[in-house]
Amino acid sequence: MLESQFGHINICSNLWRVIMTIVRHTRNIALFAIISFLAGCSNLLNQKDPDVIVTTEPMLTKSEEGEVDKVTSAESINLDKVEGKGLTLGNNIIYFEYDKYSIEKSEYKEIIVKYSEYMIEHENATLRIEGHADERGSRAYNLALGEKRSENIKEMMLINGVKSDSIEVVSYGEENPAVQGTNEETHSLNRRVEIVFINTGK
Amino acid sequence: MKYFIFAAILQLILNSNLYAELTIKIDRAKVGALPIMISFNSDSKNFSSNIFQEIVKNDLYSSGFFNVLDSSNVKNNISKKSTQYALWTLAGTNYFLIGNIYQDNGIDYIRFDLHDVIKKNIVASYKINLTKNSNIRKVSHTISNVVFEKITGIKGIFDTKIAYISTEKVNKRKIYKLHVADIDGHNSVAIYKSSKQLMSPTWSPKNDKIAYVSFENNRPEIFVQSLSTGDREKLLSGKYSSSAPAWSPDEKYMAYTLSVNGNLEIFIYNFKTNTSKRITNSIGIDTEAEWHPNSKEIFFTSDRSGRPHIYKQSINKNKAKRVTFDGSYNADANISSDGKYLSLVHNAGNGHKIAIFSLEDRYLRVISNGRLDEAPSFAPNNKMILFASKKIHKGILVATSNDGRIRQEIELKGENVREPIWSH
Repeated sequence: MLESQFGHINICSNLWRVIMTIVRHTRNIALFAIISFLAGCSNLLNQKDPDVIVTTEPMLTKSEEGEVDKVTSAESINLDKVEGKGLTLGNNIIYFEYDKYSIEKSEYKEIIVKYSEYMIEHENATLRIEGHADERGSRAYNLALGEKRSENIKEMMLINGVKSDSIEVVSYGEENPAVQGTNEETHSLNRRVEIVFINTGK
Repeated sequence: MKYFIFAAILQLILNSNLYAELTIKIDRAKVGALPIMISFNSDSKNFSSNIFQEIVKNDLYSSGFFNVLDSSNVKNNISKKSTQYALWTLAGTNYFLIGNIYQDNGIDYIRFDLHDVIKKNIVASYKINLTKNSNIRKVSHTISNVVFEKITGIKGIFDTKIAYISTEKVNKRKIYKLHVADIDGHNSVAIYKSSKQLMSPTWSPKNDKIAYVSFENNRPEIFVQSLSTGDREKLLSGKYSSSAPAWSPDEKYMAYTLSVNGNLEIFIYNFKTNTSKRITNSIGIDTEAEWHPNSKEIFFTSDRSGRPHIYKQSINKNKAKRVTFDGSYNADANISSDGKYLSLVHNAGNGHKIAIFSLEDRYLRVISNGRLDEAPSFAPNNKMILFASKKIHKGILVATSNDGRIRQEIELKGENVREPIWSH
């Protein structure tokens, strides 16, 4: 599981290297290449945060993968640079009821236990717990809802024995929806917490 | 190639500036609007009367209180010193505003006389000195204020400002802007731009500073920015997630929200001592502080009852009193300057709407009909409410009279607008 995801990180890192190589050789198209890369990548990866260019989803077809590997085979690949961004331990999203922040379902509690165990095993690992709300109601209140959702998960991890300073909590309120739309289905997908590694500790 | 890209980027910047003008659509009940005629002329070569006339016309029309009639058929018959009430009555107007720009000893003045056509007298007569440095828009708004107040008895708000947040997509990246604009949409200035989220703008009591939340350090933090110098300062030093700033009317404190041991609590920052004091202590969410005009009490949103509702608390006591009981959701309270009403986001099961809650008789009245309405704020004269709404997935601003009769939609071309707040 983990390995295959690192594989994808590998590809993106490779892709970046290809572009940097092109940049070095042909300065005139440097800007254009970077812009196309960012635009293309964010499209392909369907990422909400444009800073993050790595995902757990496969993003290239088999044949493209091969090509990318060929071009970069001369260079060594440094996995540390991506610092575990995009790595998950399987499911990393916990969903919430409207205006609520309690975690009821056992499947969500299992996610928290799984992450807690990982954090205890990997002393240097750090997590960011990102809270979100749906678009309805006041923005400042939604920011608070997202924060409370994240804080609750942090609290459960602390009870499980995770060190407090290895967890960062941030709420984006209603600003970064997972899906667009204004019906109950999309709203329920947007009321969520995403657990993200800042550092996998490996 | 390089130049082509530079040109493209430049084009984008230029376009976004061009598009920064707000458009206002007025939708209002025709009944009850007072007929008025407005005619300005100029005997001075330094100033044209047209711009003054157009701004005053637009102000009075957009207030919803007036129906501005075409005066072109009667204005030529008006000699400067006499008035022709009979003719004006025939033309169907109740009021006639005559403006004249003239020179006296080489100094320019604009004089305006407001005639009550039915009572056949002049109800207001003023002159304003005009210089090269005169802000024509401001002078015109001042004239509108006088006319509005003389006729309606309500303080005019045509020279006040609004702040709001806009977002637009540039090269697939979201750009956030904090704007300050005149209430007629003119003189819109983006006072801060960021690729990270901006939210919760709020005016200082003297309208010379704006506090807001910025995610530039990847967490919500409160910043205070001076409008005259542009200088900005983080309210709290250190890595705190702070939000929902609210200035006390006496300018001594800033209330804000901070997370403590997993709960969101309200703190009060003292500008004199540079220290903060925690004033709420409940399991759950306490946020969105709003000061009573007395600077001694705050209203805030809390879910301590299980649902978000508005509570009130003295800043020197630890006991909060629940204020709202209607519906399942009341949040983001904004108080009228007389301390009598709260405007808030209300849900009783059919969407989030704007409501006015009377603190005296505890009556809650819904005044908007959207499903995603939010961020209400009272005009300085308490007669209008500005809020954010959605129109086919686009964020727009709506200004409505506090009875909901007059409704103005304010849109920004190519951008989503949200979180409007009226200056004091």
